[in-house]
Amino acid sequence: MSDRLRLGSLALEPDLDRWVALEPDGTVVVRTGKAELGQGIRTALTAVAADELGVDPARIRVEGPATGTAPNELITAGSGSIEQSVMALRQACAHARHILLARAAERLGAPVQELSVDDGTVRAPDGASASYAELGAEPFDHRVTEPIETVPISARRWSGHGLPRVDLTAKIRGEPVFVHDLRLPGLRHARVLRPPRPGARLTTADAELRDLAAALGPPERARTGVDDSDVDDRGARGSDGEPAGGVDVVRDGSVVAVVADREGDAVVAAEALARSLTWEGGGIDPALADPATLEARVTSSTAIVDGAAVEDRPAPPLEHTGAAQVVRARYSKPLLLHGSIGPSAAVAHLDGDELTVWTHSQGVELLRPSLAEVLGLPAERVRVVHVDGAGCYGHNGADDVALDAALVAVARPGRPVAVQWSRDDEHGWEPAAPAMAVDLEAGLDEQGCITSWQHDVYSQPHGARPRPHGEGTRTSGLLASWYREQPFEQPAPWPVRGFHSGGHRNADPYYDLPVRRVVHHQVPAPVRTSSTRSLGAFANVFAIESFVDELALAAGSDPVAFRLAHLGDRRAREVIEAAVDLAGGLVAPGGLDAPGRGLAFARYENVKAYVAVVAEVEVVARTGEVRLRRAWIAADAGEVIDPDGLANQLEGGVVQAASWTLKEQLELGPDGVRNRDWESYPILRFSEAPLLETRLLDRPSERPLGAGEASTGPTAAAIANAVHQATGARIRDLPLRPDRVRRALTDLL
Amino acid sequence: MGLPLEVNGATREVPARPDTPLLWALRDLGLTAAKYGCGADRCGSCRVLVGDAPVASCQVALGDVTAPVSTLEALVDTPEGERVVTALAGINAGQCAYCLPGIAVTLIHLARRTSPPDEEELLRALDAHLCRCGSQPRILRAARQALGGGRQ
Repeated sequence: MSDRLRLGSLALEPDLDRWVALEPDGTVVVRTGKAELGQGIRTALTAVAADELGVDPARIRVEGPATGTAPNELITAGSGSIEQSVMALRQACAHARHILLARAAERLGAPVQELSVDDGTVRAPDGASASYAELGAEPFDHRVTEPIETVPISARRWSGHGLPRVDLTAKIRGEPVFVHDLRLPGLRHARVLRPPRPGARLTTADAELRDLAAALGPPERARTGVDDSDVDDRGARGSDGEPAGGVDVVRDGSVVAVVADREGDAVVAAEALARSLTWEGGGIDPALADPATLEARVTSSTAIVDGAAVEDRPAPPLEHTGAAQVVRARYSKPLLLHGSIGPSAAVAHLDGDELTVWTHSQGVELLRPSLAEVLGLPAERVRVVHVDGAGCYGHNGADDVALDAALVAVARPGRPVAVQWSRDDEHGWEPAAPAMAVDLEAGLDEQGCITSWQHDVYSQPHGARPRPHGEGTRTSGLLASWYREQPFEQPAPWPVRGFHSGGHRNADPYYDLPVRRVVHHQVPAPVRTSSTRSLGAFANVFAIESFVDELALAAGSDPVAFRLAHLGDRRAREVIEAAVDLAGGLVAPGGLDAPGRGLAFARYENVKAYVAVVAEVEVVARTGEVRLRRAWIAADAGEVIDPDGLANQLEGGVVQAASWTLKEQLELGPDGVRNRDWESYPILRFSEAPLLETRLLDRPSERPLGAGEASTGPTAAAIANAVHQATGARIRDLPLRPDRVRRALTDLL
Repeated sequence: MGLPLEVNGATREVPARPDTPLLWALRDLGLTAAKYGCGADRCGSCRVLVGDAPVASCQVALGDVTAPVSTLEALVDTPEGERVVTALAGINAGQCAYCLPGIAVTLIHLARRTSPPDEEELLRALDAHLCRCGSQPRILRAARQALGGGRQ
């Protein structure tokens, strides 16, 4: 493993004191720039730190991202937490132990090699001892620039063996650990009223808004801060100077917030006020949601070489010279929702001239300057602290609600304010997962080998995360900024030139192909679209792995042998063989009504975890309903840090992707998102959940590989391949909803 | 001022309008185990017991509550609560866990019955809940373990 990979995020943040601190009571504080999103990163970090420092995991407290104190790891995304943060912490702890032992040697008068460590107590042969707390009282004052030796594999007690999720019991018990439940002293609650459609402007006059706000009571008197100069303090405070709990309205252009001491009052008042506001303008073109329209709206096309976009103009389409036959197919997926179960929430507090924002954002370091720009504050005066939230699965409303809370906190300084989006807000305003279409063509020779491969992916943007745009640009990726009195502009999507970024993630197949041409065509979206778990890899792998089955059929080969014959990487072959072995083959036991089984494989971003999935489906011919009964997962993620955590991520990815594949589709109308509740946007339910079996191919001497997003693409293709095996119908457009499946079955007759 | 609400064995004064959903009244009392998820009884995040009945607290107006309310904060310390929490935590049956407090209330309710639910009843009860992390297979395994019935 190279030094760069062993150091992980230490390359960005070499200051050891940022990563590890010893507290007087013997607690070991380890800090990370990676957010706990439900992926269990805190547990993996605890396991590694416990091993490297030689302390019991119970002594360790993991502190999450916070600007100014935690290491800056930019963002928690791309299945990178293990590769970047856990690797960094392993080295940081190794360096910390090295320094602590050197200090102990001096203090105890014994050479380092004669010292032993037991749960944070260093002992010399003569029985003298010193605790980490004593030895670590002074800062390390050390920069980690070179990796050093770590605890040998055989001596690891936690890493590779696992420990129970350190954060889960408190969450199950309903303890107040989510940002949604953060109850700071003096906390007020606000709700922001979103427009009825994107781009609409509030036409309610200030005076009318004041009257409407006044009518929001009983039980409390209302006040309105339509103009900051017009604040009526008598309404906000009772005669004894204590807050009277009045409902308060804050307006900035088309951003309207209701503020109250109690959350219930804020919710009830917001619902009442929403019915009375008037809006004009705005709207979208819903036709742009249809994946079939993408090809006609391409704005730029880039050649993809070795996974990365290059400046070159794409080469002309392949001729498939020498092929005995050429196979072509087009696949697509619609717009989807992240669909967090907990609508986005944040707390903000302007205390003196410092603004603190508590958020479940994936990127506090990007959010901080983004907020500062919109609020016109210097970034040094903004502190952004991560607090756990509901699973986000990518760029959802987390950052936007942080701005909502910050706007209210700045308009009403002195007390912290909490904002949570409604379900309607979350479905209607979170950045959606983009629609994509993939055109594939391949040549096969007489022996049934692939001679040439062409992949054209058409994709709406995957990158709309907020980021700083520079002072005075008045551009921002944060939702409410576009609706202020002095509005900001919505930025153009991030350029997608990086390695396996956005729409071309996993567009470059992992197979050995003599000739390949891969092109990424970028297409604008009718609503904001952004990163969703596995980004373009979901559609690209769905397409590639469905197509590989189609090619195997055309070549007269079987899906396993055909894949193995085109994979030079032994680890890839072994993952496929393991999944098929775990399933007991690709033929389901049973007679005429036997369910279908399908296989699919991918290596995430061609450099991260290897995953193969076998799906078993039952297709109800009369209704067209597809039921995923079972799935078998095999994965090689290199060295496994937390076996159960890894399995949990892979399994969750399969179930979530099964939901996308079988059920989900965002529908748009002129007013934007139409399915704004769970009834109109159904997701997989408990009674539809498959039985799962997982096999991990642990490779302790290899570097760990990111896996959190690696199972989604293979799942979609494995299901589609299973439907084909069960029915003979090849369905290339997601979702595999009953109406579409029934139509495909009818077409076979 | 305010409305009396019997919750977790004590009577509390709730300074809210009678049409306020019970969920918000509970959260304003600092009982935040019940969580807002959809406001329409479609996700189960806000589940509590009213009397012996599991209900979506987002759908019940404070003024319509006529039986004592039990939230997860109190239910976890009952024998059934401990069984359910231990089973869920024991196999890491969850990822982000935002849905789990509501699910725990449903499972504790089932665990209090004299006869364990069969598989169909268990699925019907859990279909009132949504999980987006894809932990359903593990949650089902933990539920069967805690309830001692159904398919193992």
